[in-house]
Amino acid sequence: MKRLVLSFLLLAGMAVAGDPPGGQVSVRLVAILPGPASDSVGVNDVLDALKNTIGDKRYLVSAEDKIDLPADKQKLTLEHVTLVCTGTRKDFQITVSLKGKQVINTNVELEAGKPFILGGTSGNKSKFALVFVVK
Amino acid sequence: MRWFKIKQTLRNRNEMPAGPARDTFWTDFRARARMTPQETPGTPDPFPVRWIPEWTTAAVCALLLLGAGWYFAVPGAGNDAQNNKVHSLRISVPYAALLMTYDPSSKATMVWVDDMKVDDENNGG
Repeated sequence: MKRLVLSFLLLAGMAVAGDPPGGQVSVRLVAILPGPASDSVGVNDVLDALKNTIGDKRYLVSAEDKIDLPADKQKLTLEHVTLVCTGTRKDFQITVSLKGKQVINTNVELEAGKPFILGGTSGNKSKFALVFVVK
Repeated sequence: MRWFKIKQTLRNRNEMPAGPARDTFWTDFRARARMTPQETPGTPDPFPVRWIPEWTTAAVCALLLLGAGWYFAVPGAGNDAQNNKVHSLRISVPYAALLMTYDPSSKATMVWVDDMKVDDENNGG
């Protein structure tokens, strides 16, 4: 019984201590091009989400990188998109800049294996989508 | 003296010290036993010990620890019900529309900002 109680205390301690801060976030910059979604490359895990929101387009991964967690103002430049990421997966801050101008700043809690897509169109109708997945 | 010689000599002596007589030994034993409190034979174990065998407790503890190890060591384990959460979102440029969607099949959360005015001329300065 004493061992059972000790195990519960250990579990409670681990829960209070929270999530281990390690891990890695993969970041993909997806180019959105005219064409059928069936010709998309490298976005199988998020193709349905992209299709349902943006439409039946051709999605290609044009650049990708990885961020080790916890991130400390880690800067990534994926073609014309610049990102600065900070924090752990539970408190992950993303700042997106286009043409050197900060456009989006968001704070998200990322669940492992579940993609977070951040994107949009800019004034000249160029589209971008960033796919974040915690590994 | 060499070891072989010592062994041989001991074996040849064949002398055993005489122990106390059986009755003397047990009398002495009981007298010594009375000097310290002894557990009363037949006293039932307290409740949890009586009903939960030790091996069951050990197995439950082992399972709990294994489960905890798996839960905390494997990223994403046990989080099936949880989705990505957007705690805050700030868009620093004018924009036309904002969409936040969740796709159940890919379990993806998506934030889409439509028609952001990034160029200076579009911002009016």
